[in-house]
Amino acid sequence: MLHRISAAVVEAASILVSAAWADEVRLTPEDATRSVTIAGETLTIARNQDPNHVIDPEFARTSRPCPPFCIQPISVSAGVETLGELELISFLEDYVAPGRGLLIDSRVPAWFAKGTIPGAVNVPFNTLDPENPYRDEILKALGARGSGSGWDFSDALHLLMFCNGPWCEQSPTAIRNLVAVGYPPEKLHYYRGGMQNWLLLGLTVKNPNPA
Amino acid sequence: MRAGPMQGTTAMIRTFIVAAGFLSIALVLYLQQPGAEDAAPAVTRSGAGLDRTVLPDATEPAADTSVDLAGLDAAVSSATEALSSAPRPAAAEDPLRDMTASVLADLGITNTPGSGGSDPDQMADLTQGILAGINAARAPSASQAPQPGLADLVSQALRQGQSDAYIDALLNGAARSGRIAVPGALVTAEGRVDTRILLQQLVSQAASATEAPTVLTAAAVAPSPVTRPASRTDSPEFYTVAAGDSLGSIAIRFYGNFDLYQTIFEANRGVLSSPDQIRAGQRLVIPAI
Repeated sequence: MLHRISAAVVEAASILVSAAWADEVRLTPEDATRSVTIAGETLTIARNQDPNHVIDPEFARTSRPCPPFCIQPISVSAGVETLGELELISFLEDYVAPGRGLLIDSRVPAWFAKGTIPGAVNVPFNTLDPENPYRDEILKALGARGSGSGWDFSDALHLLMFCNGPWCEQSPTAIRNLVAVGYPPEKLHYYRGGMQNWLLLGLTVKNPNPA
Repeated sequence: MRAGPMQGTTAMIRTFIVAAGFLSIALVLYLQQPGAEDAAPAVTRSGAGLDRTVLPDATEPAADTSVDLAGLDAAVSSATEALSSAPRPAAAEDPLRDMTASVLADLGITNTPGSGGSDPDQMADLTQGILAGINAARAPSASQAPQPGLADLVSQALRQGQSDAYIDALLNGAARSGRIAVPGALVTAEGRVDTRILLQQLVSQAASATEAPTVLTAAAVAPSPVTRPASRTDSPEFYTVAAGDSLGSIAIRFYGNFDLYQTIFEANRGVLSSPDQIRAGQRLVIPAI
C-alpha cells in the first residue's frame, strides 16, 4: 500500500516536472544547454527548440553509394575511443578548453565553411595523408615533435575527429593515418555520428568565420 | 468386285504410306538424335554466350559507376590536383584518387575550388589555413617581440617549437616592416620570404654539422614538392619561374643544392639584376653542371 502511494507520488511529480519542461528541448534532464570557453570565446551548445523542425535535406539522404560512403564500425582502430554527443561536449570541456585537445572536423573546407560543431577546427582528412608534403607541419601543430620516422607524440594533443556521419570514412581514414604514423591511439577519439547525427538532434551548429 | 481389290490395294498403299511416313518420321527423329547431341553443346555454348552477356549486364552498373567516377574525376580534377599532393603523378588508375575524387564530388567540392584553378600551391594555402586554425584554437597569441636578425627570429621560433607556417608569417611580417634583411636568393617571385627553403637550409646545415642521419638531409632537400612538377626536371635547360619560386628553391629543385643559386643567377644576369628580382613567368637558363 505504502509502495503504491509512493509510486503514485513519484509519477505525479514526474508529470509536474515534465509539464514544467513542456516547451523545452533539453540536452539531458540535467542540462538544458552546456557552455564551454575555448580560446576566449564562450560557446553554448543547445538544441533546436522548434518541435516541428526537421533535419537539413542535405543530411536526410539515406542512400549514398557504397563505396565510398560505407557504414563505419563503432571501433575504427584498436585503442581509439568512440564517443557520442554528450561525451563530445565533455571532451570540449575537459580537453579542448584547457588546451589539451582539439575537436577536429575532418571534412574538406567547403563543408566546414557551411557549418560545423562548435569548437571544431578544420583539418581535412586528406591533409593527414602520408602523401601530403605538408603533413609534418600539421603533425607539429598538433604537438608532435621530430620528423620522418622519429616522431615523439608524448606532448601531442588529444584529438576527437568527426566528419559527415556514420557513413563517412574521412575521419576513420584520418585516424588510421595518424595511428600509422605513430600517434598514440589513446589520444585519438572518434565521433561516429558526425554532422548528420549532430543535426538530427538539433544541436547547435557554428558557422566558422574565415579568420 | 472390282472395287474390292482396288479398295484393298488402296488400303494397302495407304497403310504403306502411313507406315513409311511413320518410319521416316522415326528415322528423322533418330537421325536428329546425334544432331540433338550436337545441339546440346550448342546450347551450352549459347549458354556460355548468355553467361557472357549476362556478366557484362551484371557488371554494367559497375562499369557505369566507373564511368561516372571517371567523369567525376575529370570534373573535380582541379580540386583533386590541388588537394592531393602535387608531386603525385596524375594517375587515373589510382583507386584512392578515384575515391577521393568521388568523395569530393559528392561532398560538393566541385564548385568551390574551380575558381582558384589547379594551383599546386593550393595545398600549401590549405595547410596554412589549417595551421592558423589549430594555432588559434590551442594557443593564446604568442608574443611576437621584434628581433634584430633573420637567424635570431628563426632560431627563437624554432626553440618555441613553432610551426613552419608560423615562422613563415613571422618572417614575412618582419621583412615587410623592414625589421630584417632577407638574402636575395630567398625572395620569391612575389617578393615573399621563401621560408620553406630557408628552413630546409637550416635543417641540412644542422644535419651536416651534427652528422645527423642522412635521412634528415634527404627529407630536408626532398620536399620542394609544391612547385615541382616532376616532368620539368627532364628538361632542365630552361625553367619558367612559377609563383612561390625563389632562386634558392630553383637551385634545390635542379641541383639539390641551395648554394648553387649563384650559378643560376650568374647564368641569368641578363634578366636578373639581383637574386631577389625573379618574377613569375620569367624564363631562366639552368646551366648544366
